[in-house]
Amino acid sequence: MTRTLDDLRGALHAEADAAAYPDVDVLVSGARRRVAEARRRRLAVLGAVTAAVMVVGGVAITRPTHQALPQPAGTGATAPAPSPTVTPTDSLPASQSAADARSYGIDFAVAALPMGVRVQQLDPAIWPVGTSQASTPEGLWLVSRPTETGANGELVEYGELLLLTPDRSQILSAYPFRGVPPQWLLVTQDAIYCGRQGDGGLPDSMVCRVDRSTGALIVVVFPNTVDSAFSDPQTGVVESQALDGRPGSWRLAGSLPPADLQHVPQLTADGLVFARDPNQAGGGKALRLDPVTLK
Amino acid sequence: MRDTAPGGFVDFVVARGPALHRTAVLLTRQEQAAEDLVQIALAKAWQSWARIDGNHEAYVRAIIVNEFASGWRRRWRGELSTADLPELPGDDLGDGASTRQSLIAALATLPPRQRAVVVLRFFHDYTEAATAQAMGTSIGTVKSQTFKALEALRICEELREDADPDLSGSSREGMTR
Repeated sequence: MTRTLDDLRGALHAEADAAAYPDVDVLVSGARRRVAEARRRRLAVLGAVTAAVMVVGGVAITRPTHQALPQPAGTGATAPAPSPTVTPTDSLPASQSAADARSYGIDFAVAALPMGVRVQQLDPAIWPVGTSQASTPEGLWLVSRPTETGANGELVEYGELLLLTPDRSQILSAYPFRGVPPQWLLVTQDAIYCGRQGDGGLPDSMVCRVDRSTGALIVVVFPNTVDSAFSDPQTGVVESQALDGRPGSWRLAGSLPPADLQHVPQLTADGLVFARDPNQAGGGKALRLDPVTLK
Repeated sequence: MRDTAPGGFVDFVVARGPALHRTAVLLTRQEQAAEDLVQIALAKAWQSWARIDGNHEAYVRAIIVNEFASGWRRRWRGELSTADLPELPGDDLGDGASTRQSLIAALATLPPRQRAVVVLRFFHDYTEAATAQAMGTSIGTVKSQTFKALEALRICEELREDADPDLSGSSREGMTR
């Protein structure tokens, strides 16, 4: 049978009308409780930052300058591509200078966030599948998901791979991943790998590699065939131009492989190996990528 | 620390909370999840209440929609959109109730962004431009998401007229939020 837009409107209104009337006191008290919790978290962050500064010498809270690591290959010096707005929430110092943000292709609004707001690790209770940080001689690598509400209420579809000083007070290197925030990282002798498997909210998958000696970034994106953020809105065709302006070397691969990109891969003699995804048709198939080129 | 709600906040929730809750119910399809979603959005709005310029309801609704389409992914973990659409119930039943039932069931299968677009466009009658503004995206993306959603919902008759991304101008351009 044929369904019309009027049918859809009628169905939506019927569904909404069937909902129970909410208790507005519960809505207000719930909002109040969440505001109080957010304030407590901020105070905890402020206390941690203050304590860290006192430990390292009683210096006032400032963002120390640092020497940037070698830049990723590609268009690292280009202006950051447009991204959703974020709003710094406190009067704490910015996590990165404007110059550093420019050099790494980081949105200025993200760089303006205080460290405690910018460095938001995945909650292991919510996302237990992979490692999101690792200590190395060059510093602490971690996957961060800073999320803020913008002026129009939008949330940032954004994640970063960060290299921090061991005390987390400075950002030594930052790699932005708009639309494909990493979920895990893997440290090997030569490189840091990160990646994600698409979900219902952000359906595209991705694997990245950062050369530990040069800082060069390579990213391969596996766009979702139905609902990719990298598809042309008019045609639905995934286009590589959608990756223009991103720092490092980004490329689009074919469709999503039937492998498990949600879990950390293994580096073997055969390459970077992702296990098969048993939820895929036919039980999935393992994916092997060249550990240097990700091809 | 200030635990007192900003001026006008409580009155706003009393007046518009139920309407916001209806939006959240259509997105989450669960009463408790809808209540959580509205509380989260109100908490975010609370903290920027004085800076909101103009329509508080539209502002909070935008937070609800985006929180659902983005932040709610944690509860969507593992759910992937698929090219193979499920068979919809009630296809061979002619009455309006079964049509509505099958449409709501099909709506639940849509990816969050598409569901959010459907709710804004066809429940709240937002224009494409207003939907794009609320979701912080482009009009082209709204057209694309609408097209995909209506295709998945198998709304065929008016699909090309109202939502085909290849057609410029929509018959609903005159609608306002």
